Amino acid sequence: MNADHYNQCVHEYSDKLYRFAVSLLAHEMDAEDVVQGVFERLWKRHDKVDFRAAKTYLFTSVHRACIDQFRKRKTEREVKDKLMVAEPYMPDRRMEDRQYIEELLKRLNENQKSLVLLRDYEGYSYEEISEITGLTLAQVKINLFRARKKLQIFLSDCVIQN
Amino acid sequence: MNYTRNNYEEHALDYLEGRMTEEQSNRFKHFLVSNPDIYNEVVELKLVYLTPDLSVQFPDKQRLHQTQSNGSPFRMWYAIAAALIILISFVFLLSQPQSTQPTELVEGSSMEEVDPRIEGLQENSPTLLESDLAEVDLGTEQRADDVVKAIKSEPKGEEIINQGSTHRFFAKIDPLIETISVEEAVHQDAERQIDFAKNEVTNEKIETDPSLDRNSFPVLDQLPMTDLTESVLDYELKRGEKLVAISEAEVESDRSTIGKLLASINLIPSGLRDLDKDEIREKVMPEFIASRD
Repeated sequence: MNADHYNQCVHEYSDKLYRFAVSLLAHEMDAEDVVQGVFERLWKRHDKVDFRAAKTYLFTSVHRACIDQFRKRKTEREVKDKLMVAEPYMPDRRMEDRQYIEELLKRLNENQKSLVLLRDYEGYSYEEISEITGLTLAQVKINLFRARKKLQIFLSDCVIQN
Repeated sequence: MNYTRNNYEEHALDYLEGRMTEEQSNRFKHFLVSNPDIYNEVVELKLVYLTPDLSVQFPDKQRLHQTQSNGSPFRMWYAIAAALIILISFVFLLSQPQSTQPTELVEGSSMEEVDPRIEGLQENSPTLLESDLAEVDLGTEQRADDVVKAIKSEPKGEEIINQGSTHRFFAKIDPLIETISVEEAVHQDAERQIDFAKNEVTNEKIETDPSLDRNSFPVLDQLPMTDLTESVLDYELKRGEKLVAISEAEVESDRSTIGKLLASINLIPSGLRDLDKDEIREKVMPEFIASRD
């Protein structure tokens, strides 16, 4: 990959990677750092990375970086999860789509979030998601199914409350 | 493949997204009809798919772009940082004072001859603190260098330096200048003391100076700078050299010379000051004992 290829990757994927990271981490600054760090690593290795494999490389790197972030913030997240369970979510009609999606994603664990985002946002095949996340194909399908089931239950609760 | 309650989760999405063959789809439908609770669970899933919020974009995307074909944008900063570190290290090394090299003053002397003795001195000198060892009085070091140069400049001084027993004395003095603590000078006038040492070396008559209290150095006058713990036999075995028996006059001459030299540079190993004179004769002065035997 040359400099032109690299810059093309920046143009095509930086926003997608950023959305992916923001949705996973629910923190814009952390997401920005993750994406910038991933592109720095890609540039350092640009002569070893095939341009055709760059997208998978980038999403894999962001996914791993976000998982690392999750582990660092594990205690904090557990507290938040407990709070979320204790306080049922009351949807606001004026809520922006982004906030709504964030509230949905909070119901999922890290793996489930990644799978939903990669599938719904980026349209990756299950085989590609398996490659990016390191999960087996069966694990990808089962986790994605369970994630969608959780989202369905959450949405049903919102409808009932409204 | 048979679909069961244990494996249906793996295949439910393939069914919903139409990625099954007709035969697989029919078999999965049959399984769902047979399990109404799972049927409702799977069918409702069609409703839940997320769409990205395209307004979320990476801020300042331009800073990610690269224009060079080689190297990262941070490589230049790494190089600058490395260069600065090397430069600072170089300046720091240059700023360090040059230490006196005893081997340049006396041929045949080596640090190996001296170090064990210094360690012995330190171990047997309870009042010799680490803080004292850490401090090197550069002024004193310079004065010691001046003394040696002054002595070498005199005809007889050069001769004494090259003599056998005195040869060893010089080899043992210089490391002390670098490593052993230096007590505060009893007599601050270094120039006067250097003249004193020079006069002694050249056998010129020394004018009595009432301000010079020679009783301040009772140990130094009898200090041949050997290991406190070594006997004559141990000394010879360890050093691999035979102690030379010298006359009392020579011993006296050597002692007075080295004592005055040490005095002139204010070198007084503090741990030795309190030792009994007889003990020093037995333990510290094997040369002296050898000469008497």
